[in-house]
Amino acid sequence: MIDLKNISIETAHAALKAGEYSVRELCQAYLDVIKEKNPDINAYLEIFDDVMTQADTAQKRFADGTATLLTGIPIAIKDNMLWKGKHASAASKILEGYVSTYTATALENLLKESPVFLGRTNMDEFAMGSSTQTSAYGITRNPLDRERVPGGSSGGSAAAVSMGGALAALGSETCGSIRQPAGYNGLVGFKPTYGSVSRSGLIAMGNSLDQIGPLTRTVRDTEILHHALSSCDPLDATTIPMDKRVPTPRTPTMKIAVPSDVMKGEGLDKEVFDAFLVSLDRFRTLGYEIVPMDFTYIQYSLAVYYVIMPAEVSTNLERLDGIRYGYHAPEARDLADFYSKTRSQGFGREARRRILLGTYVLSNNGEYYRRALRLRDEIAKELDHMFESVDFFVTPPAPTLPFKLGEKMTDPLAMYYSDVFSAPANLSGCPAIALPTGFTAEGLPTSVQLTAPRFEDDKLFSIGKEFERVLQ
Amino acid sequence: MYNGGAMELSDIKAFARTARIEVSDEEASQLLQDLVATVSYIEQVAKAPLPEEVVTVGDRYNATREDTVTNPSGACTDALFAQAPAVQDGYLKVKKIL
Repeated sequence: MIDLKNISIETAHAALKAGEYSVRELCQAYLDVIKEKNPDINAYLEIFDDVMTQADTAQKRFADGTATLLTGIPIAIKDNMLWKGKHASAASKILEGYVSTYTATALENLLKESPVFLGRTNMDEFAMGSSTQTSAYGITRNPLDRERVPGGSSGGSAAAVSMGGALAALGSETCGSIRQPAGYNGLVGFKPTYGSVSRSGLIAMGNSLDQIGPLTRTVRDTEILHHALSSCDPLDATTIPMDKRVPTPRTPTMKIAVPSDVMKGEGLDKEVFDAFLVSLDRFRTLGYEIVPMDFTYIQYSLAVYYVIMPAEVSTNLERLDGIRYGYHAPEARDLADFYSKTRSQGFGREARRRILLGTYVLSNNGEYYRRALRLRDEIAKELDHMFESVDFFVTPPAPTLPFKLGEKMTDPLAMYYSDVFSAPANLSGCPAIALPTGFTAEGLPTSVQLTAPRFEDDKLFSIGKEFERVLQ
Repeated sequence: MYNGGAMELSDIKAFARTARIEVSDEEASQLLQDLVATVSYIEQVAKAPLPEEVVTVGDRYNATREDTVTNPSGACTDALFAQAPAVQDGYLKVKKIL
């Protein structure tokens, strides 16, 4: 029996190297869990039919001595990442049956090490949502409490890992879609500095915000995966050349900033706030001073995000017209009617809502959008200024605990509020990490989130590992 | 600045036409309700105080690549056509336009 509960990339690698078990045996252990739990949890939309072929490829590398840390590691990938020859649908009906014609660069980077991609995971349609309830292929349940949501939009990836159905998973973020589900599943979730991981082959939601990142059980696993995913890619002009990934020089202050209203618990569930205060004490134990701060612009982050994101969504999703690939309306009078019917039948309710919101914010000469861009700059500047006197910025990843299935579905604004603490990092391009902190009396997971200046991703891994140690 | 509170059903229909999405009357009413709520929230973007605009390049730089052919003509055509619902004589086939 392989102990899947206490496994990490490094311990699995050591065991595979020592021949304690084979890559096939490791994969089979995960497939057994998936077979038992996935029918109810619906973390995966598809288990790839070539898992054992991939396992054999990895095993050969152990035999010939070319195995590296990720060789043979079973990983789940979100359904918005293209892998040539495999289906990818972004959990939308409009991409039903679509087969990828090329491979995402981030996946290519991992494939060099011959991991095993177990399957593609469920998500909110086109990554629009915070609960994995807007998928065209059914909801995903939270493995820790099956009556609750796993968070979203990378809820399938989070659930795949927390149910024991993958050693690690890849998710993507536009605004918290890795960190919030990681928090809801007791996992580590990481959103890297914008431009460190290629978006080529990631089905776009908001191009200026999207990044791929890991969901894992430990900070070290996230660190290993992030370093493998990260590259400067000629196919994504927004990836930053390695020699430009230099943090602004600053002297460590051993201080962590927290927004004053969060320090007072405003807008937070009581359990979230209680757990947050305990986490702050743990950072104090590590020698950090917690500094409450007031801001002029950061509190506009969510509103700014809900202008910029729908604007990008409505332009991005224009390309889905049923002519070249994906779903197409069976009956239509003429071309215009074909477009409208295809898009009406192919997109789910939330996607339609955001496309229309984007159409609205871009109307009137884009006045809304332009103002949002200027505020975005001010938010980034304010964070920069803050980082002159502190090392990190701390909040919970989300204001509530994992909520009940069906909750917030009829109130889009309440759902959008889930992203309130996520937006600053995505808007500014800063890296941020969600770290598990324990469980409530009810058994629901709690989490804390740290944001660092751009290009200081590694500092988040260092403090994350220190935090893990005090937790134990 | 557009006033979200004054949004009407006819606006929703106009946005839907622009976005080429067919919406039923029932959905249009629901969308109106949702959009009015969301727009009243994002109104703060319109009202937020902003410092005077100073246009700077900042730390932005051009990202360019070599001006070379990366995909020979026709190399991906068959793979891309295989995804299309209708193809004829090397073209994507669409419905009549008028």
